[in-house]
Parts: sequence; C-alpha cells; structure tokens
Amino acid sequence: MGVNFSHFEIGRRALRAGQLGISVAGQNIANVNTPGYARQTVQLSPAPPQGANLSLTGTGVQIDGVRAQRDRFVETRLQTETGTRGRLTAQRDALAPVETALASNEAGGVGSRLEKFLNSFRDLEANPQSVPLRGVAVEQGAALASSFRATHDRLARARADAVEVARADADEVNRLASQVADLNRRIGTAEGTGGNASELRDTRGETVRRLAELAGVRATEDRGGAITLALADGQALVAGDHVAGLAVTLGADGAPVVTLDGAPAVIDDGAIRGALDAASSIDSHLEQLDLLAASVAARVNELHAGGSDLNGADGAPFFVSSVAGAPVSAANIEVSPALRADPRRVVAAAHGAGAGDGSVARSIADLLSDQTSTAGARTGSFASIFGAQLADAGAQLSNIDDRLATQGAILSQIEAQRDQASGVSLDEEAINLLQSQKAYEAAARFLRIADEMTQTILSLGQ
Amino acid sequence: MFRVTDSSASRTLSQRVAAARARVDRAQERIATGKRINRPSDDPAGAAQLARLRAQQSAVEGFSRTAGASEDVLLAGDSALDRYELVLDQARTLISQGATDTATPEAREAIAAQLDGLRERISGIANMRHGDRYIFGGTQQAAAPFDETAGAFTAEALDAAEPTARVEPDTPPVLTGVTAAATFADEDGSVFDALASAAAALRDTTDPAASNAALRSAMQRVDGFAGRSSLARARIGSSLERIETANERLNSDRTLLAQAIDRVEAADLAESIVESQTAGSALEAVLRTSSQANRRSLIDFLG
Repeated sequence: MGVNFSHFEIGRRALRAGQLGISVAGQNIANVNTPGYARQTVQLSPAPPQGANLSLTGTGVQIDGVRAQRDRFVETRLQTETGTRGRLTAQRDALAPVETALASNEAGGVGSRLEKFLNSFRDLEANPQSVPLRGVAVEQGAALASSFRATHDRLARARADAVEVARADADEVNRLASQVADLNRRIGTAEGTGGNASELRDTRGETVRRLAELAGVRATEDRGGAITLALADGQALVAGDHVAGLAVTLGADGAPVVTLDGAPAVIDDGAIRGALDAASSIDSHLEQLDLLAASVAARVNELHAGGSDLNGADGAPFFVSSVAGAPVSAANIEVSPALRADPRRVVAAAHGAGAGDGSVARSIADLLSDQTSTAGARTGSFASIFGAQLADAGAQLSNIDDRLATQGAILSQIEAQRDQASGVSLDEEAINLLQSQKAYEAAARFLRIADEMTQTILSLGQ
Repeated sequence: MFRVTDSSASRTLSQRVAAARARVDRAQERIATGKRINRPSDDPAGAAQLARLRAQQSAVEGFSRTAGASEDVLLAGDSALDRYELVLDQARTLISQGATDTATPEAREAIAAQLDGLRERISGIANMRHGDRYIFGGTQQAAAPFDETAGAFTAEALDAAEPTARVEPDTPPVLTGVTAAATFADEDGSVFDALASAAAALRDTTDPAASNAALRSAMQRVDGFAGRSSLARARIGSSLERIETANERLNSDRTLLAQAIDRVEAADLAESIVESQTAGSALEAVLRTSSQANRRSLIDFLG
C-alpha cells in the first residue's frame, strides 16, 4: 500500500491548487479596470477517494476548472439598454444643430428678419411715394430671403452630417462584426480542446456590447459557444464565422436606406437608428421651413399684385424662386431681380389710387399681426408659426435629453448589477491571495513532513 | 449582500462629479446671460411665447414710427391752413374796401393787384410740400395739385382721395391729410377763380351794379372757403387726437410687452447666484470627500 507515495500525490495536488489560486487572483487583480472582464474563480472539489470498502482514503484536492462569474441575463439586458442609450445619444447629437439653426434670438434669424421686412412696409405706408423707403423694403426682403436660405443650408448640412454618421457607424459595425466572427472561431477551438476561453469571451462580450450600442443587435449563443448576432428583422449580421456587410446608402428619393449584403434590413436601436431618426426629423423641419417661405412669398406677392407701383404698372411678384420653374422654397427664395434693379417697382398704393395711397403697404405690414396666415397645417401669424416650429425643435431635444437622463440611470443600475456578479474587488482578491498563499505554505510544510517520514522509513532498512 | 467593486465605485464617482459640474455650468450660464431661456430646448413653450411677444414688440415700434410721421404731416397741414385762413381774412378786408362807393378807380386797381398777389400766395400754400409729399395732394402725388400755367387744379388733384395710415393695431387707419378739392374748391370752382372774379369786378368800370354784385358773391365764396378750412382743421385736429391716444396705448403696450418678455425670459439673478454657489459647494464636497475616502484596499496592507 503506497500510503507514503499517495501523500506526495496529495501534496502535489495541494501545491498545484495553491499556485492556481494565486495565479487566478493575480489575473483578476491585473484586470481590475479592464472593461467587460468577468472575474474568475477556481473551482475546487475533493478528489475521488481510492481504496475499497472500509479503507477509502482521500486523494487530495481536484481542480475542476476556472470559471468566470457571468450573469447572462444581466449581460443581455446590458446590451439592450446600451443600444437604447446609443440611439438616444446619436439622436441628440444629430438634432442639436437644428435649434441653433432655427433660433431667432440673434439678429440674423428668420423670425427677426421677417419682422424687420414687414415693418419696412409700415414705414412705406406713412410715406407711400418715397423711393429710398422702397429701397429699404427691397434690402430687408433680400435679408429675409438670405436668412431663409442660410437656415435651410444649415439644416441640410445637419441632415447630411447625420447620414454621414450613420454611414461611418455602419463601417465600424462591419469591422467589429468580423472581430466577433474571428472570436467565435477561436473560442470554438479553445473550448473544443477543453481549454479556458474566458478572456476571449470577455473580449467578445465587449465587442457585442459596442455593436449593440451601434446597431441594436441581439446576441444568441449556440451550443458550440458561437454567437449569432441578429438585426431587428432577424437577419443575421454574424452567424458562426460568416459575416454579412452592413451599409447605409441614399435611395433614389434621397432617403437613407439600410442594407445587409445589399438587401433591405431593419435596424431599430443603436446609434445608426438614432442618426437616421434624427435625419428624418430634420427632413420634417426642412419641409416646414419650405412651407413657411412659400407661404410668406405667396401672401406678399398676392397683396403686392393688388396695387400699382410708382411707374404706374401692376405690382410684379416681390419674392421669386432663383431656380426657373421651381416653386418658391426656403432654398431658393429671393427678391425679384427686377425689383432690386428698380425699387420704384415696389408697390405701396392700390390700383388706380394714386401714388400717395399706402393701402397695399399697409396690408403687407399688417401681416405681422395677421392671425390668418397658414403654412402647412399651422395657422396663425407668421411669427407664431415660426415660433411653433422653434418650440417643436426645442421640445424634441428637451424630450430626448430627459429620456437620455432616465436611460443613464437605468444603465447605471444594470452596470452595478453586472459589477456585483462579475466585477473585481481588490479586497476580495487580496483575501484570495492570502488564502492561496497560506494553503501553499501549508502544503509545502506537509510535503516536508511526508518527506521526513519517508526518509525515516527508508533509513530503517539500513 | 451588496458587492461594491472598484470599477463600480469609480464609475459612480465620475457620474456624480459630472452631474455636479453640469449643475454649476447651467447656473453660471444663467448668470452670464441673465436669461432663463438660452435655447429653445430650455423651455419650448416659453420660446414660442417669446417669438410671439417679440413680433408684437416689433409691430408696436413700427406703429410708433408711423404715428410720429403722420403727426408731423398733419401738423404741417394745420399750419398751412392757418396761413391760408390769414390770407382769406386779408382778401375779405380788401374786397369789402373795394366794394365801397367811395373807392376811386385807381384805388380799385390797387386792390385788384393786391388780390392777385394773394392768389399767388394761396397757390404757394396749395402746392406746399412736407418732405417729398404734397400736403394737399391727397393720394395723387405725381404732380403739384395746382397747375400754375393753367391757373387751375389738375383733374387728378380734384379726384384725389384722402391719405390714411394705421397708427395702432386693430383700429381703422387715421386721416393724414386733407385734399385740395375739400379745401380750395367748392361747387362753383376754386378759391382762385373767386379771387380772380373779384379782381376782374374791381377792374371793370362799365357796370357798377354788376361789379358790386360780383364782389358780394366773391365775398360769400371767400367766407365759404374760410368755413371749409375750419372744417378741414377740425378734422386734422381730431386725427391728431386719435394719434395721441394711439401713442399712449403704444407706450403702455411697450411697457407691458417688455414686462411680459422679462417674466418669460429673465433669470432671477439672486436665485441663479444662490444656485451657482450651492452647486459649486456640492461639487467641491464630492471632489473632496472622494479624494479623502479610503481608496486603499487590503492589497496595500499585504506583504
């Protein structure tokens, strides 16, 4: 019976367990700040006893493996909520320029220039035959038109930027997706040969989280340890080690389209969704601005045509489109070049009423307070219509900010949950170190005693 | 059991510091700009209201300027009519002098010449301008109302309508001038032909009875014109009163609008300063306590 020799086996196993414990504690300590790292613990159990019936003896400790502490449910929730935060953040960032573009506080805004333009006709009403005052009206009209165009350009640029962000994010998604596919393969190989792929899983988890933040992907793991990443409509971005290509392109009507390997795909969360949602909000703002510009031009032109200018001719259109044949919009509105060339063609008087009549100028100036103007679905004075558009933009942004704050709180709480399960605490690792070190020392001492006993027995035979 | 790991502790700390800094930042913005609403998203409904209030403010300023300009032209018209009435007075005196039986032909000739002179003065008054506007041109401003060479008012001038201007919101426009037709003309013609016929009657020595009849009739017409001028001045006066009322209302609107805008937009300075200090203290407290809190772990004490 090799009682002495089995002591050495027990001691050897104990030493190995102690070494592993120290090494795992060291691994945890080294990765205390690594994002996505799940702390590892050594799984120990008593080794199966040997011998028969009444003389069963233990054979030391058995290392069952090193396990990472992960809560899969929390990880999934973390991915989902990160996707939502990514969407809201991207939306907020893309929409922030809108309220700056529309803001009428500064002197160059559409609101204040509209006021100045309409008031210039008030001055003309008091002095209807004045040519200099007509020149002022033309200048103020040109300033208003230029403000419309500048605001339109700023909004269009913001929209283009949003689509560009979505495109860049799609490229990033493709890069990360191929990393996930590669990790799938390596994890499959490592675990297939019985190894520990915990660090690879951690890296893959972080990459998946980043993908969720960008594209709202959903991850499912199969029995082989490979992850399938699916978009909102179920199409697979990554399946095993196959990667599909995500792209954001502009369709024929200028609207952005998401495609996966060329076929239309649906993304409902993440930064890409946020940027595209922002782009379509900006589209709506552009449309409203166009409607306002068209409505202002139409009403002014209508009133202007109801009178005669200083040359005795019927009033020509005041605002025209700089693009021949296209209807007046915020992008192309300008003061008629004929009026700019000859301000005498500005109308103040009604037909046949004589140059001293200011009734047409009066009706144009009254537009400042006239509550019956319309632009699209809105009715009211032009100032209140524009104010409503401003309020919409502000409310959108304020809304998103509120939801972002809530989302931040939700995410904090889930991250805390994840940390509880998977985070490294240096205090705990220090205790583990002490534990393993003490066990190692004790095992070493045990081995020395076992060795002395063996020596004693061997020396008996001499 | 609640595990607080090192990474969760760090994350919580950075979130708290960020929140405290954001509070300080917001309070300081309000102090620096004096406004509670620095962008539409600060208060969307308030921003919409501000847009409407500013438009109203603009309208008030526009009406103010029109009221001022209209007042100027009305006063010019009134002063012109004042001079006209003095001239009519002189004409009346001259005509009655000429109508006495004791007037010699030389004296009558002298009076007729003076009447011609008065005619010229009246034509000057009729064509007076204020800025680039003919005061008595009404809505017809293409040419002077009285044509010197033809010796009569132009057809356009006699056709002209009265000019008006709106001086306050939601009220009908006020009169800004009287027409030549209303002041210098009557059913039988104009003041010029009345004076001309008086002068002709004075110069005519053939039929004293007819001359006297013509002079009497001219005198009546001059009285009639004086009456018209009074009426015109009364209308100008009532227009000026409306403008004065409008100015009072515009001033009060101006004050009310400024107050309304202030109520919506302005940040309470005292409140903002207190908020800024509170936020600053909170930030400092977070920073100080987190740096002092034991960031050491068991590892520092091993070995």
